[in-house]
This record gives sequence, C-alpha cells and structure tokens, in this order.
Amino acid sequence: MHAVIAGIGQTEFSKNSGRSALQLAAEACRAAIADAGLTPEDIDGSVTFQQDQNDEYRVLGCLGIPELRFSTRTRGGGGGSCATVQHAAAAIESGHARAVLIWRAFNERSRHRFGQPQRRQPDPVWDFYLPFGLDTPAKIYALSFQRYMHRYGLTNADFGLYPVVARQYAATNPNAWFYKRPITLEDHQASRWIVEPLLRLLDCCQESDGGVAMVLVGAERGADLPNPPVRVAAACASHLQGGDELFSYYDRDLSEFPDGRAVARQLWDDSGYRPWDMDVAMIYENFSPIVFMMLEALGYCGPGEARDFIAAGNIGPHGAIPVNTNGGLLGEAYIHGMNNILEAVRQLRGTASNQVAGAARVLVSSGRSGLILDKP
Amino acid sequence: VLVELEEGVRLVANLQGLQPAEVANELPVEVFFDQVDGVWLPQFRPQFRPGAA
Repeated sequence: MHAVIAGIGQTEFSKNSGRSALQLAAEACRAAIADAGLTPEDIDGSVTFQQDQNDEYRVLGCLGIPELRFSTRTRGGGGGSCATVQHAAAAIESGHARAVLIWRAFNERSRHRFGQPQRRQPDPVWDFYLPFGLDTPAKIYALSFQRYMHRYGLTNADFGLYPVVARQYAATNPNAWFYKRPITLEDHQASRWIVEPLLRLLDCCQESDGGVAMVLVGAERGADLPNPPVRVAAACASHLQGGDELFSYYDRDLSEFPDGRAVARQLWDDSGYRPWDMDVAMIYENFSPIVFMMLEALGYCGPGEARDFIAAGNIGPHGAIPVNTNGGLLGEAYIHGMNNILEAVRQLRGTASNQVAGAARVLVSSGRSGLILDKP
Repeated sequence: VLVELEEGVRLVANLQGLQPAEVANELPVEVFFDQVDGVWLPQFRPQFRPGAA
C-alpha cells in the first residue's frame, strides 16, 4: 500500500510574522488537516525536524489532537525535509499510524537568523571549524562549492543564471516573497558579496518566517478525501560516511555531491522512473551552486554541464524540465525546503501559480533526501 | 581554506601571508602554529621553496 499526501497547509511567508513559531506551526497544521478533509481527532502520527522548536505536546494541545501513536523527527536541517515524508509514509505503510501530520515552522528572519553565526551545542566537531571562521552556512558551503567552480572553470556570473530563473518564477507566484520582483543577471552581479568569489547575496536562499504542514494517509483512504491525493512513489534518504550535517569536505571528489547521487539512484530504482519521466523538479537550493551539482547528480546533464544546461533555458518556464516553479527557496521562501514539497503537490493537483500543463510526476530533492510524487 | 595533507587527510584552517587575490587552488602550503586567545591553532602559509626568490 502506498501513502498519499492528502492535505497541505501553510502560513504566509514573511520577514516578520509577528507571532510565535508555535502559532505558525498550529496555523499551518490546522490548514493542512482541513485541506485533507480530516479533523484533529483523526491525526495519530507526527513528523517534524530534529531542529524544530515546537514540541509535539504543545502542538497537540494547540490543535486538539488527543493521542499520537507514532512520532519522529528527521536528521539535520533542510536536507531532511523530504525525509519527513519518508518517515510519514513508512509509518502509514507499516500500519503504525493512519494519518500523519508533518510540520516545520519558525521565525528564522525576525528571531534567530539562520544565516548568521549561531551558538552551537558543545560538540568537538565544531572545534575543527569555528576557530577558523566557518560559522555561517554560506561560508561552510562556499568552501566546498569552490572545487566545483574551479574544476569546471566557472565564475559567480555562471551561478547567477539560476537565481534569474528562480526570481522569474517567483515574480508570477503571489505566494512568493519576491512576487512581482524579477531580477536580471546584472542585478545579480551588482548584489554584494557574501563569500567572495563564490556567493553573492542573490545566490543565497532567503531567511523567512513561516510554517508549512502536510497530512499523509493511506492511498485507499486518500481516495475518499476532498482533494486529489498525491502518491508517494518513492521517498529516500542517504547519509554517507565522511559527511556531516553541514559539511561534505571529506568526499573523494568535492565537485560531486555523493549523497545527492546516492539519493537519486535510490529514487530512480525505487520508483522505476527515469529523470526524463519527470514533469517538474523541485531542487533544494540553500545556495545557487547546489542546483548545478544536483542537476548533474540527478542525471539531467553530465558533470560540469549544468551551466550550459541552465543557460539553454531547460529549467525555465516551458523548458525541458522546469525547476523550482514556485521560485524555490531563493524566490518563494526558505522554510527549510518544506515549501518546495507543497509546490510539488500543487503541481500535481493542477493548482500551482506557474502550473506546468498536465504535470503528473514531480521530483523533490533536498540533497540527502528526496521524493518522487505522482498521481495514484 | 580546505587543505589536503600529503597523508590524504583534509583540514580546515586559515591561509596567511597572501592577499586574497593571490590565493589559488592547488597552491602548495605548509603548516605552522599560531596562538590565538591562548589556543594553538594550525595555520598554513605558502610553502617555502629553497632557492626561490
């Protein structure tokens, strides 16, 4: 039996929500449960991120969910966003839960800014990074992107090709923070350096306030609910030796993304689909270079070919494989990748702002986890 | 910088003694130790080449 996504919900995406993260979680969850045509009493499972600040008991209390029979959290940050669906689907397919609620909610712009140096839990692994100044995600990731840029002779202007596309999609998505605000490559090149010579401001995902939620049920039950169910055709994760939550400095070849390649291989094997069976690809992009590396990991082009692949218009509207049609994490909002899963559901329901005509299969990649969603 | 040691181990550290524009991939470097706030940290500088000007 397959699991299906029966309901989705979210708050507005902003830079200052004006309310608590718990309030955002509760609003998004309530919207998702209603969208699924269920009531809080129907929910018996939950999944969120290890990093999520909203305790399960508080969420139950806010929503009036009487009992959880299954509750889990996914590893790490955005890399675990697709894994939330993997956990929920596993619970449903194994019979441990009948209706699983997933949420992620925070104020990562107005409160603790995710892109700024953070107080870290005492962990000896940070002793190898913090004393040398690696204290923000941008700096940490830039150091590994450097190898990709060097190997293929790229410059930051090449990476700018992606943000231009993302902001083009966001400009026509009223749900996006950057609605009606497209950019040109000149705008990108005029934005300030965050980590020279890798990342400019417009290569970085946003810091956002907001909440996102989903409800998963079994396929049989999903068929009776009000919205068209979206089937979880494959849900995979990969955590390879040598990696760490934010670092992949110890892979043999830093110009590749081995965890992403491992997830891609699992997704194609498990679903029986191939890259070009997909109608849309949602690719987690904390920073623009990751889209280049992930397009190659997924098999849409060969190593080092992503620059020309993007420049040829393949990922834009009406391209061969439209990517991040909501504007992605750069253009719509950064809810740690969860909003990209909602966009995949909307594409399959036929309700996306930038709807790809007849979209029937959507890939969602969040680096170390991934999904293929289709219609039952 | 991310330095690959001859032994194959990779180490994050700082590179000193060069202007940012002079830093390049594959640059041979050597380790030295610098005391910062009472802690000795490994740091790197361009490799000394005997006979180089």
